[in-house]
Amino acid sequence: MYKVTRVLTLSEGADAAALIQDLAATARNSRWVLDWALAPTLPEANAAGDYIWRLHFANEAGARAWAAGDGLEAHAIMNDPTRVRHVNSGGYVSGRVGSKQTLTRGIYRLLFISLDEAASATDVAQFEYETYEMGLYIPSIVQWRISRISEGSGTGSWTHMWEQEYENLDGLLKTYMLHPHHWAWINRWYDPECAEHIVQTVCQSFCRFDSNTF
Amino acid sequence: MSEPGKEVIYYLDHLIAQPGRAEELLRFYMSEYVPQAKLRGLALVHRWVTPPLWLREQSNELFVIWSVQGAQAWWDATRHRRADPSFLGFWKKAQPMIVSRRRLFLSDVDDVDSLNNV
Repeated sequence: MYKVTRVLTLSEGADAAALIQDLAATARNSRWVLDWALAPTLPEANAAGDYIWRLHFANEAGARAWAAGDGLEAHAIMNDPTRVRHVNSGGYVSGRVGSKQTLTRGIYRLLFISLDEAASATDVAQFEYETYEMGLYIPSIVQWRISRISEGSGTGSWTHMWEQEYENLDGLLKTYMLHPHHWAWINRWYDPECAEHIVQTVCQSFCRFDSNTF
Repeated sequence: MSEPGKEVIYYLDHLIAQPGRAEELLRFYMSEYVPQAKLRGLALVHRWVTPPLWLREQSNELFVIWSVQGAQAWWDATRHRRADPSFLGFWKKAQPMIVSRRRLFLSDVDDVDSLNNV
């Protein structure tokens, strides 16, 4: 499975309803898009952007075929400065997934991550393992996935996508944030004062979902 | 065992000093890092050294221990630290005096259950 995930920030005065309708049409009408979700971000805790758009393809070739066909219209919309001010985007083969149950509604949260290109392969592998491991220790994470981004753009040179699903916002804003696996363990990769620091930039956002598109 | 949300969380800065430079490193840490960290909500708890004499030709190891109360206070202090470039500036200037360093986050073992019950 290949995924393209985007966080869109709309231009001031843009017609959001029309924009969403137009973008959705480029996915709905395409035989290459296996599944998709387009949802407004939530205002809590500085979630980035206005909309999260998730597109699922059978493989990278399917994503390229969409981009060269129906996706051309989406590309034009996202590059129209009167409609979209900024896009963070990542294309990636689905990475390691964990699941405790399948939710039909809840909170989807993503974190674009840019790792230092000088980070050793050993450190990158350990970082990926510990990120995956968060789902095993933190009870509120219901489904989770850490993937390597092969094609990214936006405010960072994105190397990884860390996605999670929660039953509710407290699961993200309280349990995830306050669990010691987060602040006492994995944080050292993110903290510039820690010797292990390798994360250069992040962009987080989250939205509600009401059908399973994980 | 502490009240939930008020568990004492410790920061341990474990510094291996360059041979003969541990005392200088500690002085620099005390003058340049400690005042800023206190302003950001951290309480200085211990300053330990091994061995307890200033080695001239080998490395001392320093253990500086800080504390905050509760995971939320940990996040508050962390956000303050990250927004203040003087902390990174300190480590950059201190680097010539350091062989290696590590920062660890710890708690009393009696608080583990409470800290995980979030």
